[in-house]
Amino acid sequence: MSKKLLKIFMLVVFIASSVHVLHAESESKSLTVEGGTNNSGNQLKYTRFVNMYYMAANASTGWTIHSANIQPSNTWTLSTTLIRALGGGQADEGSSTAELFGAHIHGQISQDGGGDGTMPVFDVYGQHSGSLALEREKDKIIVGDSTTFALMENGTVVPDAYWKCYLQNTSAPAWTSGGGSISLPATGTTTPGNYIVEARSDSNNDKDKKTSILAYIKVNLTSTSTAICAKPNNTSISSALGLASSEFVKEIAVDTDPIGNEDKVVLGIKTLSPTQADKGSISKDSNTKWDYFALTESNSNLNPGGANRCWTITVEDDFSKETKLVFIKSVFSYLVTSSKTEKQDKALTYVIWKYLNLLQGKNIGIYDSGLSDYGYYSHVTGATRYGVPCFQPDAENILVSTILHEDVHANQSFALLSSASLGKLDYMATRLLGLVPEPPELPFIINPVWRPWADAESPAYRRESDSRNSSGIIHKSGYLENVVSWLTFFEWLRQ
Amino acid sequence: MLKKISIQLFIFLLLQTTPATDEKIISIGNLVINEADIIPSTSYTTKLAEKLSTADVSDSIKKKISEKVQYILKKNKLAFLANDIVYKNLKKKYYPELISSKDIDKAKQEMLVANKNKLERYRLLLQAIKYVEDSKKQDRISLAYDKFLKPNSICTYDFLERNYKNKKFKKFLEDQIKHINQGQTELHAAEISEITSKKLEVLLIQNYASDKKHITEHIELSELHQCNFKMNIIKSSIIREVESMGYKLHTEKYGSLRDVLWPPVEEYSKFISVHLNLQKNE
Repeated sequence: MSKKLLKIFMLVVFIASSVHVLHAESESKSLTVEGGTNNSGNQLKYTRFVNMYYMAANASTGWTIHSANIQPSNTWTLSTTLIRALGGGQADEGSSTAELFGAHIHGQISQDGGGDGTMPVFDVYGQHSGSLALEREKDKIIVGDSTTFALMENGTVVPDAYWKCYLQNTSAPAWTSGGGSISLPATGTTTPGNYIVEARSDSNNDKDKKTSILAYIKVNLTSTSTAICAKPNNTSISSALGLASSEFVKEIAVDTDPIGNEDKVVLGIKTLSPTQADKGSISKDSNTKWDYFALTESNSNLNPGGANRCWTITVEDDFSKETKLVFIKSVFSYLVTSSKTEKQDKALTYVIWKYLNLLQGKNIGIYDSGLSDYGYYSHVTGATRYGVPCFQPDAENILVSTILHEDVHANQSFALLSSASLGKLDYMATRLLGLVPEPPELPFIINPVWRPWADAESPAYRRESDSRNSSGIIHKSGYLENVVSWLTFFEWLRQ
Repeated sequence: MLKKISIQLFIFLLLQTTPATDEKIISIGNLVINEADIIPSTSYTTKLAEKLSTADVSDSIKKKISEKVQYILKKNKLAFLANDIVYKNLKKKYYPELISSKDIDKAKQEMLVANKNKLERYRLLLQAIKYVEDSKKQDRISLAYDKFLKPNSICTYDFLERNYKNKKFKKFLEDQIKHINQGQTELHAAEISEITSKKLEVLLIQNYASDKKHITEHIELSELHQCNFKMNIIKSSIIREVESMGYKLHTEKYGSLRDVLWPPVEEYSKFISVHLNLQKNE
């Protein structure tokens, strides 16, 4: 910090007992000395303490000061006794040039109390003009960040200071000089912990040293990576599905290095993908444990969690900006990937409840682990079964669509279904012989035996296609196109 | 050379096992189904021989597979024809009770809705096919698919790629569009058939259970637990009706009347997929 202007500061009474001699040598500067040869070997020296400067001229034994002046008179004050002329002033922190004082003390001195003699001896004194304080902007910061420390004197930052900043329980480094206000820890510091910050104004003396501790914090957010379940918007269905309240909650553990700073952590929901109005909520259970409570899956959301049927929440600590991802599976997806017993039956129960308006009054079948196709209605047994592909994590809409499809068959006549199964068998044999292509590629020849198969399947595929919006298969790219391709295939066979 | 001889030998064996074509199988009322009516076509037989000729199995196994497949195909066709005769007779017998203007009107309404969707789908398919035909671009199929079919989920890309060259399909689309645009009002024969079949089966159950209260109650229960009771009642009722029509099985090689009408399709389906899918695991 430079100092150009020197502002007049008070210095009225000098009491020897209150004077502390401070680093006079290190701050010595040569100034113009008024006087004769008696004083040519004595440089005028001054003492700087914080932003106060002092200079004094002492008469040698047997001599008394007759008169004394200090110049420039408007920036310094001077008091004299018979043996001492003491001047003091204060550097202006707003100054812009180096601390060179154009000031000098001169006067008359004599052994008899009269004048003529030149002041013979110059001593330098320092004085505490106030108490030091080490102030800081923040007491806890995150790794990578820094905060400002300032060595203060009477509410003012000292112009120069000496600093140390080191990790607690490690060796202290040497002092480094710097301004009265600096940012710590140094850029590039990566090790978290409690840092000792020391400051003093004297390059050689710890007498005015001030110490502070800075917590340089690394926040760790941990939780298991397993997804939780979105909440159905009805508690009774949750109970029917065997979903415990704990399955809707994700615990996030908080710890900090150094420990004990967990109270600084404030978690919030930063992002939700895919977006929806309800993001769930997050609340503090204790300093070291937060809970995220799952969002609710609306009944009208036929594409819950998007293509992957899983929402991703980014939880962020407002203090450290540390983040943690929380995954929330759609209810259907959660159920079919859970370890629950009869999980497919529960998933089926859920879609029947969720798509009540669409499925009410429809024939409902059962899950068949041995069925690799989507669904099957047997006109022989009257049983409807839904296969493994309907119970994949992203197959909620497909299951609904398959229920609609098989319901068409369940309401078809025995006659049609009997002949349809014959037709299908014949087509399959024909295909295996290589006479017709793999459906839904269209065959060039059409055997009337196949028509009942097409008569039975056309309305079933048509219902799937027509219900694309209400079943949600419009969100299942690939499946819908396949359904409509098959519909065209069967319409082709019916001609 | 060896392969050629093997095929010739196999066709010879097949011909040796082909039965006489004028043999009667079953008579229902005054209608007869003969062996000639159900025998697989030459193309089936030839293809079957080709398929088996490349299979790495013994000739005796090949012969058994061939015989079984042909038997299945014949039984299949037999069941198809027999059911057709039986249902036609029954619908003729009960016709006034099987059809009503209300049913027809309802079916027509459904058809009109279906036609609307169908028209749009066929129109876009036709546009896509014409685009592919007219374009000289290398990626014309992809362009056509993205432009006409993908936005409305009309079909898969593969469907277009595999079928756009089918001239019959293009003509089918044109004819259908024209037919619908002309204001198609008549129902598809299959739809009328289905309306009557469903009513017939309800009638058959009612007739069968008219003096058996426990059957009616059991049918209601069977709807809940999805057992095959209702189907068995329909079958039994049909058997009773066929008996009243008068029938005669002229051979036992296709089983009883019940076996003729309702062959074990699932079992056959499994056999065919296992034994004919010799060169390609699915």
